[in-house]
Amino acid sequence: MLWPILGLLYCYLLVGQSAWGQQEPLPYDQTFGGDFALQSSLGRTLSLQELRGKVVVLTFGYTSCPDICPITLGQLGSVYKGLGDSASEVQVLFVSFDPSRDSSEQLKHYMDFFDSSFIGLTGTDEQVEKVADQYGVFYLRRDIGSAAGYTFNHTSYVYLIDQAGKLRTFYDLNEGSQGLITGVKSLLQVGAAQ
Amino acid sequence: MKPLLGLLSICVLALVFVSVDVLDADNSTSVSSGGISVQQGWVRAVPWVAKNTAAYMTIISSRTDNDQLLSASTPVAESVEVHRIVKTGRMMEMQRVDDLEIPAAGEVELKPGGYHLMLIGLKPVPAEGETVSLTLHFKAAGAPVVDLPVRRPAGY
Repeated sequence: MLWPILGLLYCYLLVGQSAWGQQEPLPYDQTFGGDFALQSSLGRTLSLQELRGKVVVLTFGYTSCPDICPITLGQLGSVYKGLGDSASEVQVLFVSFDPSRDSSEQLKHYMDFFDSSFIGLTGTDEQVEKVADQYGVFYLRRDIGSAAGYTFNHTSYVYLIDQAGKLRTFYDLNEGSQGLITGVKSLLQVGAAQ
Repeated sequence: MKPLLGLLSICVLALVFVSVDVLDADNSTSVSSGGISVQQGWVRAVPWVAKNTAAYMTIISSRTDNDQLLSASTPVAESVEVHRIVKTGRMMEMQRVDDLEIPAAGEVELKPGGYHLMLIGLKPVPAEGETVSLTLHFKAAGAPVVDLPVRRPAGY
């Protein structure tokens, strides 16, 4: 009578271990991603290639955005600080699709507020559009009759790029930061094991 | 038995004082005018180079008729507009709202990712910890002034 119960317990522990003990490896995004180079808040052109060996967390927006973009950057600041010592192996990039209002200097001061290690990027309209296309980012300049001037409708995902520069997946932080934290930690673990 | 009762009384009194403190903190921005009260308001702390920021609050009506928030003003911004974020498919869209309807005996929450007051043309950017004075112009309930703390939301 005891054996069926012990058998069930064994199965439970086995399933439990595979579900909780090991993380599924992150998939590779087969559609989007790729290298790019843009003018940075460091005062020079920065290419994604230069960041090989680091986990890159990439997002897009504009600094005149009063609600969604600072929320996303605030969440990224919180995630970044929560990584502790591992944070030095992660680089957060913010691409502005509003180059006429977001200079490199504007981006530098804006990034510093969230974390001084964050790098802002921009370029010509064409350069930014190309990078946005690579990552499946949509943005649309609109005039809504606001004293703030034009605004943008835009997607607000956060893209996770591995140490080899490959896009692995993306996250909607409106649903919380936990998925991103798990993804970043998973890449850091793989990186540490290599 | 008496010392035990004394101890209990102290605990109860302490709980009452703690509760009052918490309520005060929650309602620190509370203001009432003409059957409209504004609670739990705050302004998002933003980088000093930011041109705009957002104010959030809950507007509660005890009126028997609908009211409208027609406009708002503050000394720290050139203009204030009611905006809302709407998610259409994968896109986040910011829309300008001319008159914000406040339903009778109802409430409207202005919160991140939804309705918010956009403070445009900051002069200068209010720093974290400062207070922003905001006048809300309602169609029926008058023009209450609410003082909102400038802060970073929890988590960053």
